[in-house]
Amino acid sequence: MLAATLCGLVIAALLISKFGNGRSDGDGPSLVVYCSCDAAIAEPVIEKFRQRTGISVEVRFDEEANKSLGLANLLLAEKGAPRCDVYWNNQALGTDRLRREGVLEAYESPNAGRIPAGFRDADFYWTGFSARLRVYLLNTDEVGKFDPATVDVMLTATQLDRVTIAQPVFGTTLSHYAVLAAQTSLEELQQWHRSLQQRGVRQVRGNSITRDLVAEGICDLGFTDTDDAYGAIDKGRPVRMLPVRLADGKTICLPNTAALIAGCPHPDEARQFIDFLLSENVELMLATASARQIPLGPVDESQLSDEVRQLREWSRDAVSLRPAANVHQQVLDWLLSEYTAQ
Amino acid sequence: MSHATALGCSVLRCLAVATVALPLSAMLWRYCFSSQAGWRRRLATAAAVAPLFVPDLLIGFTYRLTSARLLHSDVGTELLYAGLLLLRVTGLQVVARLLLPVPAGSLEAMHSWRLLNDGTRAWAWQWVRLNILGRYRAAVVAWLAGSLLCFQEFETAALVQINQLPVVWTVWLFDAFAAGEPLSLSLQHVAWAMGFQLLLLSPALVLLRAAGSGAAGGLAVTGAVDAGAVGGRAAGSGRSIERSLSVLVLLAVVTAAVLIPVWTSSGQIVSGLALLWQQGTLLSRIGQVLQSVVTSVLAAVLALWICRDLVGRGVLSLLFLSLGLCGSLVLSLVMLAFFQLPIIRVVYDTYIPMVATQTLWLLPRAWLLLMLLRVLADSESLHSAGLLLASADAGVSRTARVTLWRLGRIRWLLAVSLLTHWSFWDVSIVSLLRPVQFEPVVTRLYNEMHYGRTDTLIAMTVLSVVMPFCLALLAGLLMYALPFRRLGRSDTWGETRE
Repeated sequence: MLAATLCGLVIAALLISKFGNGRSDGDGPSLVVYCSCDAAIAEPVIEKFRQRTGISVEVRFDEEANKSLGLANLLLAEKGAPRCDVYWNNQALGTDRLRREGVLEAYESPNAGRIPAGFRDADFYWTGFSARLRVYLLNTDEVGKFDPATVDVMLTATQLDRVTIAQPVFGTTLSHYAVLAAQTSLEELQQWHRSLQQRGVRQVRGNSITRDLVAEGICDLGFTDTDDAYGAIDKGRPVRMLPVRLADGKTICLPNTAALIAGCPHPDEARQFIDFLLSENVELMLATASARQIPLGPVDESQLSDEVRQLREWSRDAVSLRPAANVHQQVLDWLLSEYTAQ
Repeated sequence: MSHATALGCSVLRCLAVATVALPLSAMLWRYCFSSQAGWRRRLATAAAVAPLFVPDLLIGFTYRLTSARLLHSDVGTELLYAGLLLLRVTGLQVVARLLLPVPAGSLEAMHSWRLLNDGTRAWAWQWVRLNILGRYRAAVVAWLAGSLLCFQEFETAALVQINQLPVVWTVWLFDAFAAGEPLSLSLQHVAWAMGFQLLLLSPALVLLRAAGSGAAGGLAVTGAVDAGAVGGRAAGSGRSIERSLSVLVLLAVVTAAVLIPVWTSSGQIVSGLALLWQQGTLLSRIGQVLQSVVTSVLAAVLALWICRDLVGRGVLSLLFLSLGLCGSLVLSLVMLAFFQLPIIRVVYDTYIPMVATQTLWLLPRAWLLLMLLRVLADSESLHSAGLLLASADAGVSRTARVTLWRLGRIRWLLAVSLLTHWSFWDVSIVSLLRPVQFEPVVTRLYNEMHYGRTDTLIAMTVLSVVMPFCLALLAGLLMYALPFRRLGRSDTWGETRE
């Protein structure tokens, strides 16, 4: 009975793995992509690539539970014998960490030239495309005015118990912190962080929860990203967003990145895929998707919505991420000690 | 906050929750047992056990805003989390009590021993031992199992956590690793948690083994339901109060664990399914669920199979169980490093690392369940039913068949279902160790949740709950239809029936 059950299960698993996902196509060229971007947004792009090139793509998506921990760690663990060809990350600073660890291989795509220099690695270990902005999300039922001065007043109040931010150990909030540290210093960042905590800011475990707290009126103001903000706006929640601006008026624009994995099994197909990701077409596809990602290179402006044009305006003020990449690890080390008392 | 603080809070919480759940589960169990009508008994049992099968993801997703609304009250957040744990732990304790024959020692035996009181320490020790192995065995095992389940919890805590509350060691460990803590240090931290879990597990194993060999230990394992334990304790007017209270508790449990999550999502179930249909992805999502079920069942069956062979192998079994007690995150990271070794890397991008890790993670739970089932496998009820199966009277034979099905196969099915459920909904292992061509439904759910696609999230969650449930029902019917004689040995998986 047991042997029969086990045999049945193994056969079923093999059959399902063979026919279940309908993606493996046997002998044709193939490619493995690790993707931290939202699956529903990335899938049409990948499907388009499949249709154009005939290259079969196996995708591994990240999930919120891992806060991009999974794929980056996987790539590090697999460094000796990688199975992944291209890492499509939605955070440039996370990708830069992999460059420092020797996981990536430089590749200057013919399409990299259309991306501004501030959004790509100087040695082309990664190239950015389609970005998100860090924004303040405000609840319109609770907040009367929607201008930077109002946000400043709210953030300098003695009590911040109706302000929420994601725990900075992960995700784009970590990138936000790294940018702040690069702009000022680690000490100033620490002071600001402790000041937020002392005044009772609500820390949650992700930007999506930050968005939900503001959308539900539990908090008045939250730090989040444009794609999360649109999640609430599209549902008709009473929210509006303003870009986070640094002391010098710069915005924080966090691009997706495409990076070639060193020693990957399918380098030629991987380069084709990176070229495709960095193309105008893909930037337009991502701009018209629900997340309204901001094209970084030149695109046909007539195809952009007013919302994306506005975001594009804000992104023109973006701070360079290179200084932030340099302090990223220091910030992470400090946060480790801060949150785990080590 | 330090690791010691997180661990201390988790230990206190799990002991407190398991303790509070104990009288509740005892009350519910008595209510289930004493219900006269079959349908009422089944309904009550299903209601009591239901929270155990509601995914952590759904519970956490439903109550994360409730937790946020309690942001001005640290105690409120803690109570909410403890309450959510209480639902599940109560369910588990009811299952443990339902599975364990009650109680092992008769009241007459205890009375006789009391008469033999000579005031010595030996008598007192034996008195305590008889009580723990007999009258209170089910309660102690249920308490230990509940504590273990509560201590290992991660998903709900991560979803409802606000301002780092509730303080939970599993979440602390995740954050530390995410922030760059080396794996070697994580393992050091885990060692303390493992020690505590072994402390919980060992008495449960001793008790269950003692119960399994009751005759040798000087206790008669009768399998009969003790009137004092079930009905007698709540006699007269007390009984009606307890029954009313049981109904209230059951209603509260079902409302909090099932109705509220379903009600808050009900509007999105239909629209989500319609959206999946419009996108043409409904069938592939169903395929995804089926894939996840198959791999999870495989891990569950393997875990039970390995546990069967581990019984009686002290150090080896301890080693295997310890791996499972690391928690799914650390275990996955260790296994990820292991499967990168050149000699074994060839199987890395297959189902083997994922299923092997799921199996290892399930081992401690499978061990507990196996011990429970072993106790049952030796019971006289099964033996009698096996004999009655051969009766020429069709009615008697049919009754025996139903009895064997209920006391044997259905309990195995419940054990496999429970292990499958845990494996199916764990996200850490599959996110790190699945082969690249396989996307388990649970990782997709987290991806959908991140971007607030609640329609498809809810629809897929419903598929993920309903489909395994239907498959379990189908398996139950199949197990009833299969002939018993031919499968008699398999019913107890190699256990020798006296």
